[in-house]
Amino acid sequence: MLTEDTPSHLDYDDLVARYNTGLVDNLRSFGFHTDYLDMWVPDEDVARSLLNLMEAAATVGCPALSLRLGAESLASLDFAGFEAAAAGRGRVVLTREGQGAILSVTELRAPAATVVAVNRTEAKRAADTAVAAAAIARPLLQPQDLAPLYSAAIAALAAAVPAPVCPPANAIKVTAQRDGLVLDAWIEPQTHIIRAVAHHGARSPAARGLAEAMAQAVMGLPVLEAADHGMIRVEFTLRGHIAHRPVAGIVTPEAADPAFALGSALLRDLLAEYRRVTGFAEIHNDFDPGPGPAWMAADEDTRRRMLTDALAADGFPLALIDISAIEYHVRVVLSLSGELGADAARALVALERCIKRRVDDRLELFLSELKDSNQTRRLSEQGAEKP
Amino acid sequence: MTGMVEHTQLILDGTKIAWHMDRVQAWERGERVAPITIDMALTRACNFGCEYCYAMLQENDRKVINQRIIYEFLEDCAEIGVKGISLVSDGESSISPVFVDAIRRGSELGLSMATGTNGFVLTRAKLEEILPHLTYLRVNISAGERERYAEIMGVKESWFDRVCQNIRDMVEIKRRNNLPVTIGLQMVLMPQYADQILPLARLGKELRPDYLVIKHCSDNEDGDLGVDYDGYQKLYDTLREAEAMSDDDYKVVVKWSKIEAKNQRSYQRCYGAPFMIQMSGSGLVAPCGMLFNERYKKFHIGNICETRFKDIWASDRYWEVMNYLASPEFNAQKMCGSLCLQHKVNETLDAHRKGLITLNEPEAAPPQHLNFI
Repeated sequence: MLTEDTPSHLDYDDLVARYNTGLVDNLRSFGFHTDYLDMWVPDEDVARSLLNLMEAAATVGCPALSLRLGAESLASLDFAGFEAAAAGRGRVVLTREGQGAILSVTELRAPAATVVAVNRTEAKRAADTAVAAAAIARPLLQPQDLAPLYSAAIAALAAAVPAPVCPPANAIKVTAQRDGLVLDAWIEPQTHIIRAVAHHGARSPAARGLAEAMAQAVMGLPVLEAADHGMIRVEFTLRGHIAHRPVAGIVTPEAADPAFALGSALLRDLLAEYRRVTGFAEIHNDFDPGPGPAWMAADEDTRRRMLTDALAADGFPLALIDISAIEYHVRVVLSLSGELGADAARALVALERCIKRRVDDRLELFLSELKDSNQTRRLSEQGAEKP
Repeated sequence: MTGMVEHTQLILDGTKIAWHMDRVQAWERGERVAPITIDMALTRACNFGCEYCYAMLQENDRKVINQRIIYEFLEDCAEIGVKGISLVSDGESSISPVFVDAIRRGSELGLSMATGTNGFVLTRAKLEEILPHLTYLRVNISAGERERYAEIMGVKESWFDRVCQNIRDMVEIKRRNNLPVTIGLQMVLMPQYADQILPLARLGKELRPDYLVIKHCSDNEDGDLGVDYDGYQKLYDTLREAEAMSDDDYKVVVKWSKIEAKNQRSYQRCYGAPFMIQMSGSGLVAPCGMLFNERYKKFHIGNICETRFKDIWASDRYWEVMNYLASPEFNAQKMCGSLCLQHKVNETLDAHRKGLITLNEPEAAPPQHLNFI
């Protein structure tokens, strides 16, 4: 509320200043709480601003206005133009007073309706984002055939000896096959979780590396999660760091490298086969791995110590970081000061990467919430009447 | 239907992303795509005090969007390929001194412009200025009776009369000038406002906007507004009764897909943000309005009061945040409030990415408000 203003002459410049301050300081119930002023919106153009005020006053049946204009407002007012524009809305008289003037408006009336010609501007922009050439399918032979971000990790996986597969006795085996690559998964029917994975038939080192990456990524996941997000996980794991991105825009596995499309198709085939064999029909996937056992077993003090140890190990200045709360086991709420507080957005990203890597991958970082200081809401929450 | 001849269909409960396949395909190729739609406000302030106001939860550093800043922003939008700008978001844009200028300038630059407003300060002269430049104007009105309007929307009862008059004026101006603008009313429905569903539907029938849409109320991930999503089910009969008041020129539309979804999401990745971002009335650029609060600073990309929008869009920070939302690090089911603005786009793109649907350019004629996805 900008407070009541009922002097004989309204101070126009003060009204504008209070209005603009209110736009920043007030959140809700903004306004002067005076009928005609509540409908008024000022304008950087003084003439338009005054016309708006005349219309607001006329709309609520106010017959006259008297305004004091300061020197600056007066200097920027083309009075002849304003007088002409105001002609249909009331009688205006300007009287000099010192450096400024008194603007008297009488016989106020709402503007008559006018017919406005429709003249919508045609869109003039050029075509949308340029279309790049479509990805060209190619045989996947060597790790170097994948995008450079992935080739080292794929080479290591291709060279590794796969761990022996020990499927549980009660698991159901399902198989998917594409381009010679065979993926076997043993899935627990009670939980639909993949308990063992094997692959064979890869026709190249690169395909073998990719298959091994898939096998490792989907182990322990529900089969629905593996089909929905398995290749996103594979791509993300192989990349190793969220900041290293293979494309300029949004990273999807297939955009990062067309080779990932084979993996996506195999994992979906695996789910389809599991549905066919078992009748599994669930489509809603709300899988959340949650934090790991070490974090969950730790008490509050231990968790705080784990966090500060991790941040210290990466060289973050602990004096500038206050852990305000740990909510719902996974949300770590911080207050930052000094240089970290000055660029909190970037600092939070770096800090979150640190604790995900060193403490638990499921943790999230937030700052303390900024509460609104709105009087109406506070009073309402306290059960008082609204103004 | 007067003034609504250029398109054939009005989609109020769905997404139009499939009519923008060029941009979807560019996104899938990993290219940097400009948002199709930007939802923003010109100020954080509002002259109302609605009980359900989500903006109470979106507090962030205030800055002032003046005429120079909004003009530069609109020019940048036109340059990079933004198609539609809705002035809704977290403040009442009509009380900003640059409201009329922004709409006119955006339209002149070839952008589709729209606004959601409480409608109180939209005097006849202002309506005459802005309506020719708008794709739609939607008035937020969550009650059909004076007393309840004042209670729910936190204002004096007399303001209800003023808003109704302003709606009559806008309908009259639209008809008189045969303008293509769509005029709508919107009720944000909390289960405890059930008594106002039918009075508002009747009021709409009298005022004659093009439609009344009744939507759920969003809440944050901690449920701070206390929305009882199970409470909506008891209102289904009343909602259907309201829908039955539709006639040839006035539609009552219930956003069933969101109301029936309660606060459930079928997806975990947020793919919609690059196509549809939100900006606070403070000038803050963030992927989503639910992330405006300082608490979510890690998602804050920049501020148009400090940096040109085209530079923000081209920055590594912008794509870092967008990629975070699309990565396994992010789970919208766990980390977001309920039923965000991007919900339907997210739902569709996620199903497309999972191979559950194949997204193709529809053969049907493009719907109205195509650039507001």
